[in-house]
Amino acid sequence: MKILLDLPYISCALLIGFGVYAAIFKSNLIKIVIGLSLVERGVNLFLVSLGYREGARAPIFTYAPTENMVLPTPQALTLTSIVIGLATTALMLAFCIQVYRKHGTLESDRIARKLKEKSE
Amino acid sequence: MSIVEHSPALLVGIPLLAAFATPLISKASGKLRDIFVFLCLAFIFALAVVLISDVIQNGTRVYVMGGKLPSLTLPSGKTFPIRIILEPDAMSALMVLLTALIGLIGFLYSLQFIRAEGAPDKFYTLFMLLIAGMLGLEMTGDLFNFFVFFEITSIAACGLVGFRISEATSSVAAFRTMTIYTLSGLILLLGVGLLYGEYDALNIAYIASKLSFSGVDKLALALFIGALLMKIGSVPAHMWVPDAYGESPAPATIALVINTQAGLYGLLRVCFTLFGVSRAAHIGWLLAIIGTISILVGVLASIYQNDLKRLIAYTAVSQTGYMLMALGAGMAAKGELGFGRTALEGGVFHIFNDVISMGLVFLCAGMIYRATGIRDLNKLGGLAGKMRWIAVLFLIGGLAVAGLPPFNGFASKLMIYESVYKLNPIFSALALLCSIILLGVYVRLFYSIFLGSKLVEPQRIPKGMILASSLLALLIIGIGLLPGMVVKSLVSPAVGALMDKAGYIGKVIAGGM
Amino acid sequence: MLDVLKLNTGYGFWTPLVLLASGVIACLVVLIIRSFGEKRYKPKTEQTLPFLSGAGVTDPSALKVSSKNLYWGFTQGLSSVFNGLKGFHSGDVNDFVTWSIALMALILLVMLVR
Repeated sequence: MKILLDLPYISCALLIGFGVYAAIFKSNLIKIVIGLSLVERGVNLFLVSLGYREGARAPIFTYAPTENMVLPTPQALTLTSIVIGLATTALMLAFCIQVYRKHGTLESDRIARKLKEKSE
Repeated sequence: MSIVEHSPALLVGIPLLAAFATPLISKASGKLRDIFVFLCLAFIFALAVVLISDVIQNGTRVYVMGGKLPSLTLPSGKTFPIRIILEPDAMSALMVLLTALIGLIGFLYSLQFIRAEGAPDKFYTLFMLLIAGMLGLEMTGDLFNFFVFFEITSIAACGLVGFRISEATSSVAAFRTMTIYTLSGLILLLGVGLLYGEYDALNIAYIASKLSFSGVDKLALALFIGALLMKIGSVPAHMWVPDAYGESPAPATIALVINTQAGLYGLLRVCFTLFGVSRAAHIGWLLAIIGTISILVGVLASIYQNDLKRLIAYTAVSQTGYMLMALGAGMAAKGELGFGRTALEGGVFHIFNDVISMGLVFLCAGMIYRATGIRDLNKLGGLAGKMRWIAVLFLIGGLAVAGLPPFNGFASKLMIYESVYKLNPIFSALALLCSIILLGVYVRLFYSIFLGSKLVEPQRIPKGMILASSLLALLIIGIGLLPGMVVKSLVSPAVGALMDKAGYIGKVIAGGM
Repeated sequence: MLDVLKLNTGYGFWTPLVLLASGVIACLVVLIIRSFGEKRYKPKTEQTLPFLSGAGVTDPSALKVSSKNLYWGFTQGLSSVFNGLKGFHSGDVNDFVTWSIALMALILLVMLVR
């Protein structure tokens, strides 16, 4: 558990914390999307910093065939995760555009109240 | 022999290919696209039947996507090869069978349903993508692969929820659903990253063999359980369920139902195979309590609803609570052959029954919406004069969900009640009470739509939709009359494979490696 | 052969065909009792027209109890519970995320404390 108190992991926790704060307390839909993408960046940073080895080089095989290399697998995982984050953010923003066209507002509590009045 | 050998890869690859080929083929002609999608889904269903009969006979199958020999993928300094493994055991094969069945029935239903809504090729693309994602999620033996398929299903499911772009409520519902799915996917990735950082491997079997219950492992387990409980729709993270199930078109809703059950499969896999049964008794109690609260909130919230599909969606939340209760009882029993095994069998059997009976109720709701164009219960009435057969189907589905004998819901609920009673009688009593209230909810629903004086004139329903729903009703009655056979032949091997952690690990490490 | 029809729940068994058979017998008994009844009842004549306090009814929507009023006693009696539930399901995205994070915190607490 002690290793989790290094600096990269603390900054990951801070990023995730800010993202979750934005998703909980901000009512504009775009700000919620920004918050979720902050959480995603924090998790990606966590994945990349898992592979770090002290004093090792970048994992390019021709430069360092015999020396220590930083682990390449988490970098592959992070690339996949970045692409997935791109797709989800794009989808959420597309729905935000449609919500703005139909309702004229992007505040989540006003949208909720409007939909409740319509269904009563 | 080779089809059986390659069936796991084909099961993931064919729907994926078909999903992206569908828009191209539909530029040629609409009929060609329908035939193409039907052939793909029928082939998938046949493959699923072949897979489950093979796995029940021959044991867990390990399918390696990657190097042919383990030594080819073994970089220097590592003891375990880096590659992705699909490992369908009996539990996975059962879920694959269900997914393929729902895919086929959803397609048969959507032939005429979606044509009236416009853009059928986009619907089929998203639908096949969702089926491909679910099939991959249920068969994979690798944690990061699980996350990738999780996200595929999230994106496809939210696309289906927001399918009716012209309506005002669909986009809001899709945004809300996407928020929760994205958050749960990211928490899952955090857990996967923690386990990777500790054990330097992503293979479920390898991590399960090396797991020691240190603090980081417990943190990873908590993150996994939290993320999967959000996807399952357990209280208090259930508020996306009425929006998602209520706003999507009816064939998409049944795919969303089995998407939720795939999340439950993930929870079973993480709790039993990855982390082992005997060390998680307090988590079992927590899951049982969350399940009971889900049943209560789901049933009570559906009493005052006035929208047809949102009401049924709240009852779907309560059915998920039953499965969580059974899972919790199975874990708290510390894995002994006593009430733990019966609880798990009841839970897995209830997954089977719930998908089929809730699917039938949602399909009937879709037919009612198609016939009248109204979703408000206060304005519907007296449809049983013209729509007799649909009234019978709705009655069968509703009584099966509420757990009335002799339908299939009663059989699985009986197993759950009797085994959870041993855990704590209060859970069982509350669940039984809520089952009775659920019957009242469905009686009210049946009266409002079908009985009474006729307030709205229904249009004719196309035959394909009635055929698809009747298939599900036949399945409900069949399973209801022969529950012992279904449990002995399908559910019992599945639960056996689930609780057999050593067998799962042994297939990969000793044999496949 | 009979074993195939049973479902063993570990504490007993459940045979649906026996229930169905007893249901069929009960329906037969009901039909026999019904045949002793009033022979002068003919459906779809003026005997079956609805009749509310001395006047014939022509408006069909006046006869049907509307769906939101159907369980009025239940909803009025437990109105505090239902108002609480309505406030809980507010429909605001922030509440969705708040409760999900609360669930996450609860699970973390239970896992890490024990």
